[in-house]
Amino acid sequence: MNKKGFISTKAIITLVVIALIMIYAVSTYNSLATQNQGVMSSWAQVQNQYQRRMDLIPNLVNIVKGEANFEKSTLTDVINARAKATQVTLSPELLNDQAKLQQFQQTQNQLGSSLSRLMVTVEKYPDLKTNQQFAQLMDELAGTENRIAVSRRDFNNTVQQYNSNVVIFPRNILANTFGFKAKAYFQADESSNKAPAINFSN
Amino acid sequence: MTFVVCALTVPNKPATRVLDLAHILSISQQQQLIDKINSVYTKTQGSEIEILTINSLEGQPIDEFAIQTARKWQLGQQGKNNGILIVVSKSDKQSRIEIGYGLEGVIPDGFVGRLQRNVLAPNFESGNYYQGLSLTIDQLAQQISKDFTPQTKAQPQNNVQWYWVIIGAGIGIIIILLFVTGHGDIAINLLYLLLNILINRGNNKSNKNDDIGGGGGFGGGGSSNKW
Repeated sequence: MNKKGFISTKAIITLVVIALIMIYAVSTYNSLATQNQGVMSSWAQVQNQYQRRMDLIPNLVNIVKGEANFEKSTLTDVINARAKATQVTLSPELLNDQAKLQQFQQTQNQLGSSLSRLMVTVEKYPDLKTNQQFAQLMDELAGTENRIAVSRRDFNNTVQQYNSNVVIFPRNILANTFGFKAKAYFQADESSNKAPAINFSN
Repeated sequence: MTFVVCALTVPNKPATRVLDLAHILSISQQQQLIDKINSVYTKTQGSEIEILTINSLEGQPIDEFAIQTARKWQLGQQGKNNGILIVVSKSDKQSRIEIGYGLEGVIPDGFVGRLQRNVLAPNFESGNYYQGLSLTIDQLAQQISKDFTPQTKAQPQNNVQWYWVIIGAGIGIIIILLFVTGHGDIAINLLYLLLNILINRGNNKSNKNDDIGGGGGFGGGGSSNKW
């Protein structure tokens, strides 16, 4: 092998290595960016469903208020929890902050549990239970609780896929370089995963 | 962090519209339901209803089981997400009607809840499973045809990316040059690496699309009930 041939081999190898690294970087960046978008859109879905629940509450409060001698404390609990929940929002850029997500989750859970308390209380008021409008509202609320559970599961699944890409070697090096950070999950809590049930049959 | 553990395996999608694993319908009743569902399908631009009856949920919440099944079966048309799944668990005395994204506007949860309480439950209580299901389908069909404007949910785009074509062509030229200039061994190594990258990309793709599916856009709309 003469000197000229050797240099060209070296040049070719360097070229090939650079090309390979570039391909790998582009491919990694793209898959991270796509998954990042997936996480964002599933987060938007989570927020939609929580918002939907908050939008239903004023109607609920109005109907229940009309019921004579309804327990004031349960009602004010719901109203206060809703007010608190509207204050705690979480923009998608902050999704990598586990503490922030936990705070968001906590305020929403408080709202959820005050709602379930209200629904238990409602059992004592037969007039409410036969109210068609109220029954429909309860169906919408139960449906929304289920949508919340579904969107949270979907969110956790997309985050899991994204995180496994961000954390695992060698992609984590590139993820760091491109500024992709691991994102937070929803913690499981039994109470909020269950849609509040109400029995209209009697 | 916890993820859904599926205790109860979701059955495969049946060829017909009814999968009666609990054996609560006779063959002729099944056929009548299938005919009814098929006529709804043609009348409502492809709204796809399926009925699944099971013996027991084995402790799994019916909400979870229903959405897993609806997504796996990919009910409804792609882009329209106009599927409906009716799940009946005999021994649990529970039913759920799962509504696809595209029909959530036409069939609100309140409607489904009323349907469950006023139509399904009374019939199921007296053991008239066929009657309950048949009337439910009638009412659903009526509701769909009232206002049929299927909503679409944005599907992830899957464009062919132009730079991949360019990069691929570039690599191809380099490989050919390597062979021509007598560096066959490097060329083969390069091909091998390239193959590895392609395989990895393929794996990522298949993971990503697992639960999105053609139709099957379900977000938990509908209503559950006990009878």
